[in-house]
Amino acid sequence: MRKGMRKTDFIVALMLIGFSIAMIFFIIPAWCPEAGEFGAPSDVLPITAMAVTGILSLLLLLKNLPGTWKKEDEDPAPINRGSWIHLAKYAGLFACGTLVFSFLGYIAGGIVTIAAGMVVCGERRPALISAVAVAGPLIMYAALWYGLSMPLP
Amino acid sequence: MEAILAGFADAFTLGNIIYLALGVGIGVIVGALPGLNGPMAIALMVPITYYMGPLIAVAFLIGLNKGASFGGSIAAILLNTPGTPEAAATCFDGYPLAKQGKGEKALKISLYASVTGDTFSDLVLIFVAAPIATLALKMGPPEIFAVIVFALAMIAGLEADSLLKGLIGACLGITFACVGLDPVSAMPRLAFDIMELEEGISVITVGIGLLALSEIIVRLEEMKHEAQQGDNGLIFDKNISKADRTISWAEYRSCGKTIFRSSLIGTALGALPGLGATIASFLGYGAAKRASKDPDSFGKGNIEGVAAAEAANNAVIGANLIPLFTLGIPGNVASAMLIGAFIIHGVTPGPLLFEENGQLIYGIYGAMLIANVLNLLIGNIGLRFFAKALSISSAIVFPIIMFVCMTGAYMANNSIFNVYMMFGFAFLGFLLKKLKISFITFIIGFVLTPMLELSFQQTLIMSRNNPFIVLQRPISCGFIILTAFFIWRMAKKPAKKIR
Repeated sequence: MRKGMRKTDFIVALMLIGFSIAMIFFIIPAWCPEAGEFGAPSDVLPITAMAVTGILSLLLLLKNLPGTWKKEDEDPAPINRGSWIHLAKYAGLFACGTLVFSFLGYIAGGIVTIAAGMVVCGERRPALISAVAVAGPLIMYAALWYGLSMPLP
Repeated sequence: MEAILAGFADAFTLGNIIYLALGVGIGVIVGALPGLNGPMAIALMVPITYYMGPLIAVAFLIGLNKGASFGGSIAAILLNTPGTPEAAATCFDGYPLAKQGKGEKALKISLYASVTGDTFSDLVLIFVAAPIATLALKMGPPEIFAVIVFALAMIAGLEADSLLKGLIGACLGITFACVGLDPVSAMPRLAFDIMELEEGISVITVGIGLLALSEIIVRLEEMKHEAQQGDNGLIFDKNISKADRTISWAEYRSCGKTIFRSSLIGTALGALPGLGATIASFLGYGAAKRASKDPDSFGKGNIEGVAAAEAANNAVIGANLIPLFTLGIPGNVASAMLIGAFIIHGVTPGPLLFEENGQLIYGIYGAMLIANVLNLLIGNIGLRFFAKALSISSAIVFPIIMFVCMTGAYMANNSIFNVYMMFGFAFLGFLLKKLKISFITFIIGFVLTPMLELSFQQTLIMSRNNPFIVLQRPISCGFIILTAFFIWRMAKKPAKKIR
């Protein structure tokens, strides 16, 4: 295994252990109802799942201690700054598209999402972007409304 | 007997056949486009099937999966890039054939082998599922609990790159599935006072986010570093001889043993949870090469190589439904998504399925067999059209798919909150894929949690709060021991190479 992946696994294991502890001691007890008269309490399954996650994460941590990172295997980490920027780009795109969807309706949301998506994906021809962005939502709206009688905003 | 005849009669209606043809056609196109696959298409289409009857809905989705499985071979043969992961082995001989100008020939043997393998496993499903369901009815809650734990461990160990990460994925899926109402007290659990979360998280939302949208985001990042693919127009050059464009009956017969062997391999692997079509296609290819009189010709354009891989990967489809129909346990992601379709229509997969919905099951069987015939017809007639689909720019396809994802998530329960949740799962899926934490075990853990918790609660109630009853009954104890043994064996093996 490469250094980049080992280091990432170490960090992820630490985060998962922290997450498991937070879930078991704070979140689950606060957001699960009290035990009923019969059967297992409602928090048994989530606590068990998180406890197992915590134990497995500890094993993952022990398997990827800093001492195991070989200096000669300098591979890039699976998630880097570029990945976060890539994710943020699409988060912005979806946020805009969904806002337009919820305030202006299905077709407007579709036009914005598809047009912005095509630009983000590298398409630069305005005629093609306009045609696809308008035709796509219209065809889907027609198919869902007239074909399946499905109400859309 | 009456249910069988009535079920098959239900399948042979014009409306059903039209929807099946639509499903197969869409599936082939989806499978042909690299980056898209059958489970993704199923996740996107499940909300749309809400407005269809249960038979048409399930048949449409199964047709989609069948079409996509064949469709994956189109890009594999023409571009040396598998459209779906299970078509990877098809590249070995498919692409060399295309370079020799025999691309159409390769596509046709792929189609015929796919349909043959698919039909074989469908027949096995038809004859084997009912007897297994009868045996499964004898299982009580402790046995069901033990079987689910074993299935989760097996899928985590076989499907994921590492057992640890596979089990972590499953546990995270189980945790997310706990959001909603407690099954015993019906009180909100982990809903954080958000009304929409009290209904629980829909499997459709999770499926679309984790399978479809996250895959597109990952694929778009990878494509920045990939070179553009060449033109594939040459395979339909009129100057190519008829012998190089078609498969004769003699050629098909010569691949008969290979197709039969691969169909057996695919069916056997498909019936076991966790072993996917990709493994089946490689095993089928490897077995064909070892059994061949001319193994050196494999990898250089041998039609048997294409037939072996495609028959095996398609034979998985029908067999994958055996654990789903008989035990309610999805063996792979596509079956996990089918559970969503069943739930929408008020049908619970499992051993009682044959008793409570016998006519529906036999209708589905009939529809599956019709889908194979339609796959053959549509594949043959539409080959050129499907090949042309490869030339559509991903800058057009992917934004449309993104919007289809939003539509599908909204349709799950007509709520914009679902769309936001779907985005959340898409980003989670992106991170899981990057960190090599299995999103497949996440989804299967998510889907199996209601059954797991119900069987556990029933076990405690019937045993008066004695959880050790699981170890006191022979079948459940046997499965728990098998689980422990399996985890021990997998833990001793080195981690798989990153695919």
